[in-house]
Amino acid sequence: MSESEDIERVIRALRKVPPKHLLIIQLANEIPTKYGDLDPAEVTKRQVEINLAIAEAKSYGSHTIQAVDALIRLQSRERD
Amino acid sequence: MWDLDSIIRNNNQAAMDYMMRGLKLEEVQAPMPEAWPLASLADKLNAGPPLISELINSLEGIDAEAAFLELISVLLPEHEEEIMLEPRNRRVYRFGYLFGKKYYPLPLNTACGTRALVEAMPVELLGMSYSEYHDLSMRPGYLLLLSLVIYPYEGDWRDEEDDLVPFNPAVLQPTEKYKPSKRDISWVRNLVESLAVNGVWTAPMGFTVVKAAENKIVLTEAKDTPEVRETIRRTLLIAKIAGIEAAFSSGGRTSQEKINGARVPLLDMVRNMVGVEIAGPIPGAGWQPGELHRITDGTPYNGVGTFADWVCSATGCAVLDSGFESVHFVEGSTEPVFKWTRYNVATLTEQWPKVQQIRRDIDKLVDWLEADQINNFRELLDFILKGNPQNTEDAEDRSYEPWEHMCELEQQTEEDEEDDG
Repeated sequence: MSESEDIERVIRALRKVPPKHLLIIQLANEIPTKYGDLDPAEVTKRQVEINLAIAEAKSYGSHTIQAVDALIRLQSRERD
Repeated sequence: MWDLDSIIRNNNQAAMDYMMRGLKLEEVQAPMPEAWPLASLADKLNAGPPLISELINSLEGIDAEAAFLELISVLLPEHEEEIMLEPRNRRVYRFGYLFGKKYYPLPLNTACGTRALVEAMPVELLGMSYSEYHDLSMRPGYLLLLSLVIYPYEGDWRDEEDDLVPFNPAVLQPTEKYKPSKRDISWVRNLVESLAVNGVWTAPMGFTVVKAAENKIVLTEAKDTPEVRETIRRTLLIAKIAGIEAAFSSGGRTSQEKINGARVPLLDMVRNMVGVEIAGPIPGAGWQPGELHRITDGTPYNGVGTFADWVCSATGCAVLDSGFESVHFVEGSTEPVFKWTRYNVATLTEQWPKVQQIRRDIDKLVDWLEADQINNFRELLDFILKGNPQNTEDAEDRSYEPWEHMCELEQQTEEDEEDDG
């Protein structure tokens, strides 16, 4: 299989990944800001949701890194 | 492993380096109103949606942001907008600049974040310390001035540790007439015979003897009391009559010899720097701070007395009188944590003009000495010798007690940590 075909396959695979709406983005849009940052008083009020949102974002981020690492390893194996 | 002794030594060395680099350098490095690093321009140009990692950092650090706002509302309420409208990485810098204008220049690491700022009030201790005094790693001007000042740690337990027999048993003067009786001689002989070689006998009144060989005893430890001195004098007399060899394991220095002894390496160093002829007349014990004030205040050599105050931790300014031996370390920490309290801010603000004046006087004097250390030190020493050629042996007894020199600023303790937890 040629390199361009490989790239096409990866793109097709990525397109099949379902969209993910992270809670942290939703919260960042909802919480009012003060001096350009999230308002600490508002953040304190919604601490439970925020803890959940942070945990979700970290988990999603680590899975993304695993996927990227897997792709890098595939390329390396081909070159070997 | 948490090695508090090393931590204190390293911090003391840093404090001495900070003191010796002079006040001018700190003034130049203080936050300026219009200082903008190019990195800030790069940040401004780097527009786009926020990274998720940045959102997480922002949310996780929200308690520090809230504490920072609280700190501003207490100390700089009139500048809240001015500080908070700065880019995030410039707020601490702006805070430091405005704090310096209203109170005193904060010894701020301007690159630190808000969390580091709110968790500990930045305080730069500049006091002389026992470890730095004995280490003698100082600028030439500091060493020359130090040679003029009395030993500040007289009576400190750290000196006693090295001298377990604090007098010379060979030259003890009798307090009353005494002639050993047969019974006394027999008692000492029996005592020595009853001990095994390397056996130890401790007299309840406060001295210890070791049997070093079949017919030899060594005095290894003694309290410095009249009773102990007299008993040891009598024991040595009896031992001589009984044919028992007696030895002492210490240098047997008197209190005054010990004080002067602590200054021997310093005076040696100064003799190497300016020559024996010039340094020779320096009294072994140095001069009391009060004497140096009397002789030099208001003269071209103004500042020598102030330097002596600093050496003796007696300037009356918390940062100049405290080294890291006189602060509290929470277990596991490498630096003392000073609290952001009104008392600390008020104390340091009130003392700042005096700290500034003292440091300017010392810097000026040290710079002058270092400009021509041989001739200028000769000139200064001649002036002081004319004012008071006597040493200070008969001066008032001093006894350095570390606990009396604990830093007056409010610090975090283990109890605070438990309360926070």
